[in-house]
Amino acid sequence: MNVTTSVNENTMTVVVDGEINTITTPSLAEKVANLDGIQMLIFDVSRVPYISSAGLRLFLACQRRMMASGGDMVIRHCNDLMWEIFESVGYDRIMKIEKMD
Amino acid sequence: MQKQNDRLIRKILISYAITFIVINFADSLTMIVDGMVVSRGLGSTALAAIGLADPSFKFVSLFTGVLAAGLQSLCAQAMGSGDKERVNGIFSAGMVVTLSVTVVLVFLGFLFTGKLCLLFGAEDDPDLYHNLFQYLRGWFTGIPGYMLFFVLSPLVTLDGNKKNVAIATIVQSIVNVVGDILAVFVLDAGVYGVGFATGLSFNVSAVILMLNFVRKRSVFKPFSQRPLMKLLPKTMNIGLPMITQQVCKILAPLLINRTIIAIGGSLAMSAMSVKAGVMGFCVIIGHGIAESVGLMTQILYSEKDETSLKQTVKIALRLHLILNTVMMVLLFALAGGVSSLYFTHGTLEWIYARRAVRCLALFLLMNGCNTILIKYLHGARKMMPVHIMTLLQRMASLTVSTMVLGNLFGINGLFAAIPVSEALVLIGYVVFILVRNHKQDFWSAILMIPDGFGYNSENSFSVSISTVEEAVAVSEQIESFCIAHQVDKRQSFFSARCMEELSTNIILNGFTADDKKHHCDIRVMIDPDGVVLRLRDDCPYFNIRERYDSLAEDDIDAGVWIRMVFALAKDIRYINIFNTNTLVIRM
Repeated sequence: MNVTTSVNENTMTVVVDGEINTITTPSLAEKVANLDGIQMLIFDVSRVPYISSAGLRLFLACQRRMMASGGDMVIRHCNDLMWEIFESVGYDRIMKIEKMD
Repeated sequence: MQKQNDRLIRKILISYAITFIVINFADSLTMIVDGMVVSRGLGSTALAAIGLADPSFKFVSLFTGVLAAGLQSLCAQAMGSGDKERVNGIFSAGMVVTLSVTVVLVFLGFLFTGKLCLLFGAEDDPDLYHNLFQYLRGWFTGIPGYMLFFVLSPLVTLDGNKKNVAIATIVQSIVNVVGDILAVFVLDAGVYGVGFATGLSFNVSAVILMLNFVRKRSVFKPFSQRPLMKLLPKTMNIGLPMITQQVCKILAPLLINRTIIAIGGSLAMSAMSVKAGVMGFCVIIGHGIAESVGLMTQILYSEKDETSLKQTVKIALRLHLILNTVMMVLLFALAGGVSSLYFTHGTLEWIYARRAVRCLALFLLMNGCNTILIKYLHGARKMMPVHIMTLLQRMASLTVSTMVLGNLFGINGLFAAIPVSEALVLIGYVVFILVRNHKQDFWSAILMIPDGFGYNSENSFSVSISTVEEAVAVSEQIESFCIAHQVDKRQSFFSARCMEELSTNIILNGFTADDKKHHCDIRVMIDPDGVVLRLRDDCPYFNIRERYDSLAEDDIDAGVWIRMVFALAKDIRYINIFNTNTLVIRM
């Protein structure tokens, strides 16, 4: 899995390329460890085929940190199978998730 | 990562074989000590009376044997498919029958004690009659415990609580021996006391077994479901080979002993008695392994797991051959020493006893193979082959071998018949089966696995894993496997991911729950209805269904992976078999 992050003013965009599973989640967590000054956190998952429960928990943790600091988070370009995974645990109701066009 | 899932099979086989070996050892030891206490304390008439009472045990064993075998087989099948309600329906029906038969047997036993004494051969000796009468009255108080002990033991073993069965057996042995000693040397209770001690030992052990059912984890909950009485005929049918076995145990000596005495006289008969006494201990390993195979076959056959069935039998045979080759060499070498326990060194009795024991040594390997095969066939519900093999092994082959070899070679021929009879059964079975099923591969033919049976290497995928990296790698293989078998992309994807979630969490949480080494076996099967996933691990008890049911709906943090799997799968069944957590998931 490759992760590239870019910060534009107070918006951080995290582009993930590859599976977010138990093995790769810790490296993604490192990339988003420092969210100081970030008001909008965007995850681009267009190139993520699958996310495991470890990845889901990381997203939930990021969401909570952003809300605690008055910011926001969105997950973009989610494919159908990934959407189904988010839906299966009810995260579609508590997170902003945009489906792939 | 291991392609075959034999690590878990080997572990289960060995652990259950050890339990059965311990149980058989305790039984054998009890019989010997029992006999010594009675003969020393009460004399030969009392001992003879106890010997005459043996048919009463065999008669009650007819019922327990049939019920135990039938119930275990049907319950194992239901457990294999995760149907707990059916398990308890069968169990409840079994309990109704067991208790009903118990009441009838106790009533008849007490009503007709005198008549039984006459039937068993005590009509001409008032002293013998009196001793037998007292003994029977004492032991009949234990019929309820005896029935429950032998019917429940296999079920408690199936329930994964083999420790409870071993404890019950050991306690039974201790109570029996201590009870005999107290009855004879302290309380002066005579033969009645000895019979009562026997009965009490079974009553106590039955109570210990029943404690298993108050365990939260026990699959068996007595009378929690309506008894499935309609399954009783099937139960009896499955248990029928036990009747065959018991009948052979009664008839075979009648046929064979005459030949032995006619050809070899009392010398040959005494040598055979030594052989019979030693045999009880020597066959413990082979029979323990065979019992384990029978138990596992019941589950694996119901799961249609062809690969695991073959692995189980191969591992069992390998284990038996290794251990019993050592036993055979030791027994052969020490035959003289063993005979010296019975007779003075160098006497004719000693010489013949040594020959008999050496022939017994040669008999062990083939007897173990035959017993493993018979137990496998019984577990796989191949009833006719079981009846035939049982008849051949326990009666026909030995009788014919004894007569033919005895007449050809005299007393040495009688001893040679011991290993020859077993060899004939084994060779006969193998040749017959291979000729009949010559189009099949060797193991499919020997194990009578029909073509198109369940899941095999064509439509299933088996692997053992032990790390998270392996779990992730296997997930990709599973997806590819499903797609290659024309499973649609979505189902293939989620089958793989469900397996990854489950196996990863087993490794991260289950493997680290204690300090022991653990295994996780994964099996993916494709059938006309779709994908079936089976995970089996030997971690501490974890019922995913119970955990899911306990999750609060609004607690989004807890059990993310469990919610995910339950949402994506069509059906998830949990069962604890052989102390393993077994999940069967239909996608």
